[in-house]
Amino acid sequence: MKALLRALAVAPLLIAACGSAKDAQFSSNALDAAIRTAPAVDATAIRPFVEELVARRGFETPLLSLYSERQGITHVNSLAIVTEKLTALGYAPVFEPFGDGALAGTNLYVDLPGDTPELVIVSGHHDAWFQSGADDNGSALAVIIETARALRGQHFRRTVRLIAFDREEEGLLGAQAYTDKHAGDRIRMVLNMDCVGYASHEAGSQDAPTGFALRDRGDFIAVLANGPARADATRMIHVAAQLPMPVDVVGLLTPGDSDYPGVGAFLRSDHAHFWFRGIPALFVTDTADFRNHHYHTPDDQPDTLDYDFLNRVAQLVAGSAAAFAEAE
Amino acid sequence: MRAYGRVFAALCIATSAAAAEKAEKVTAPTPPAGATVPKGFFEPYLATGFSYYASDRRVLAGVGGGLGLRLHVHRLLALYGEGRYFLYTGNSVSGALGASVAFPLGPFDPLVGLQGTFYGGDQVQVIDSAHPIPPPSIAWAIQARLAPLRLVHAPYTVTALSGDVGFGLDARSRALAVTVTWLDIGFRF
Repeated sequence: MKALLRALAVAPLLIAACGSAKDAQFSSNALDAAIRTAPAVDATAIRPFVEELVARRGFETPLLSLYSERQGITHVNSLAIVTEKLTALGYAPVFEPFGDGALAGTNLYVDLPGDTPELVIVSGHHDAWFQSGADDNGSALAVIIETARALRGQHFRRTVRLIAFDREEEGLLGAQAYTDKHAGDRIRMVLNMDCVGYASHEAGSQDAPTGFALRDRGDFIAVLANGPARADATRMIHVAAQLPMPVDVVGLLTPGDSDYPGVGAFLRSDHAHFWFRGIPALFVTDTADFRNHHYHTPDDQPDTLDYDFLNRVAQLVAGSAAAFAEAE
Repeated sequence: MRAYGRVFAALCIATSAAAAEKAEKVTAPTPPAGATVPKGFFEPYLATGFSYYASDRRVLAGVGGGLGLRLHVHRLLALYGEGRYFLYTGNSVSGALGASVAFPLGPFDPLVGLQGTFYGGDQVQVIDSAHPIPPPSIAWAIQARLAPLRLVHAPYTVTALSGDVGFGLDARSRALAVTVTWLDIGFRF
């Protein structure tokens, strides 16, 4: 009886000990790849890209949204400019149209081939509300372009795939089409970005979903992990600490695929379709409307972004992509 | 007529005998020291409510319910243990061990208690450059239990709107641990 009581008393402690993460760090060669890659981001190219993207959306007639006739979707010129930039960097874009009529769209991806076909995906959506979308999601497209630039000419164990999804704003349609079509792919990691360029150092500038406590100042980049990617969020924080221009990272580790009522806010971008399939994926975000009051308005303009912050995020994502691609 | 008189007389004798026996019981002396008396009784109970644990390092929350057992070791003092399941940030559980003191006020039996509680299962954990490793999966808390609306109608007990309020023990973090019980129904034996 005493032994049983003793076992019952010790059990929670053992469970707690097992629950604490192992020391999740990249190997030194993977960290070297990150440190080598991150500085190749061209900080001077980021703002001009976002400004050009938003300017060209201004020449596009928005589609009527499925949800509101007052709001329109632009997604044609964004696809064109991403195609031009990636082609200029030496990549060969692959286009994957999906859907019909009002729900039609086109995903785009490019590959940096590795030793194996196992993928490390860096993604973001290219469609936008209105003719603006500087933070949502021009900032992520800028990071994709800079990741392409930083990885160019390198060779890793895994293949790196850069994807620009379409029609995210109306129900993650591009990501759904992609994951349906590529269900058999082996994927080591997805780094999906949505809104990564807005920061504020003012007290009270950061909000959080009901019941959650985040920092008061919106000066960090959030990295949300599903169950299979929990240790990878820790790895990404270690990468951030190693970079010459670090960015403050806050990781939110969710259970399983996060399909629970209290964490629905964490499923608001294309990574959700990877989470639903149990694929390790990290969602990189400035937390959108929990910080940026221009979110989903015509005021989401290039001059509202913090380009030093965005440059640091670009270095973090490019470096992390290299590390995940090179890690054993 | 004579027969009716006999019955009436018999009833009177029986009633007076019962009354005498009752009077004898009321005035009976307390048992001598060492005699066997009941030392306590059990009260299993069902509880439903809302649980919330939040610190800088994690959040668990949800609506659910569970089972508990009170051991009344004295007319006023009880020890209790309970387990609950709740769903919101995932499939989460909690367990508590504590002691409570009752303050009988007629049919009401409000109580206050002190308990140690653990929270586990699914949760959202927060990491950053200062704390890159997630906290242990079990969170501990010290809580006070307040149950002012507790009604006893033996062998049943019904408690409405009781609360457990306290603080979590996550390292280097302030933590709030709250459970609101909407309804708790027990049975004493």
